[in-house]
Amino acid sequence: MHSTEMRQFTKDKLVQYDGKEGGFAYVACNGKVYDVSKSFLWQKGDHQVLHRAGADLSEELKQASHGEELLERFPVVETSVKMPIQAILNLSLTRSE
Amino acid sequence: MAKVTREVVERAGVNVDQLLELLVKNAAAELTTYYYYTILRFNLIGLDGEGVKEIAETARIEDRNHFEALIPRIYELGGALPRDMKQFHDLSACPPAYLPEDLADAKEILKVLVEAERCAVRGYTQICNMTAGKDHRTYDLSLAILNEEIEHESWFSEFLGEGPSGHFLRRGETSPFVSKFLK
Repeated sequence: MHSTEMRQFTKDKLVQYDGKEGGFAYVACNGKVYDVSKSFLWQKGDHQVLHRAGADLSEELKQASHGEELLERFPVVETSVKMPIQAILNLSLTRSE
Repeated sequence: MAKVTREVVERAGVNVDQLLELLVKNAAAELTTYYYYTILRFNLIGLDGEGVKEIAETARIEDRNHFEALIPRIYELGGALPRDMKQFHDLSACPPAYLPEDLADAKEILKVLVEAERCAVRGYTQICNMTAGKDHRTYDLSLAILNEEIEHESWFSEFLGEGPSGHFLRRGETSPFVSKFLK
């Protein structure tokens, strides 16, 4: 049992956390959602010119000059253990097609 | 701006505006690193700190050289530095290399130094990846800087006990790779 609030993220919901206008900046990667709001390198949700918060960056990470270990320094936003974030994102994509 | 210089890079498929943003961000990282390393170097004192002081100073001066080398390329491609230096600081590609809380432990300062160099290695690797085979001059410049940042990382990493760096510290000269861009 988890005592903290459990949150599920759909693609549509995640995009709201793009770090703009003082809001939180979340990035999804390989089934986890990370809170990068306080990072110097994610100011206003932008990272190294090419990457934006509020999205699943799993594919982009494959082209990056670092691995997921750098994201693991950030707090993980709770997600439901019953439905991994990737499944939620895939489901959302299927529904929109 | 060098008009044809920019055009050939665009025609090769590089998003020059994105490249310029990255070059400016990394130039900011170099200049701010030069400043923060000054503070770090001054605090490398005592028996533990003295041994690291020289390499911290070498990295400091070479990072300033990297800043000097990057600026002409930024302007050649039609870019510019921000008018406000405070803004320049805050858009750095790497976090500020702040002095750690525990000044008595040279190892804590070394950790700050190695993290700063690792950020630089990642940054110039990204620029090299973007420009390889497309923007030969920026690639050449970024590769030269990358070579020196790799050596900086390896020196600090060795002092942290992470294994041999594989090469000597500088013997008299600085910026063996970047100096050709400073003439």
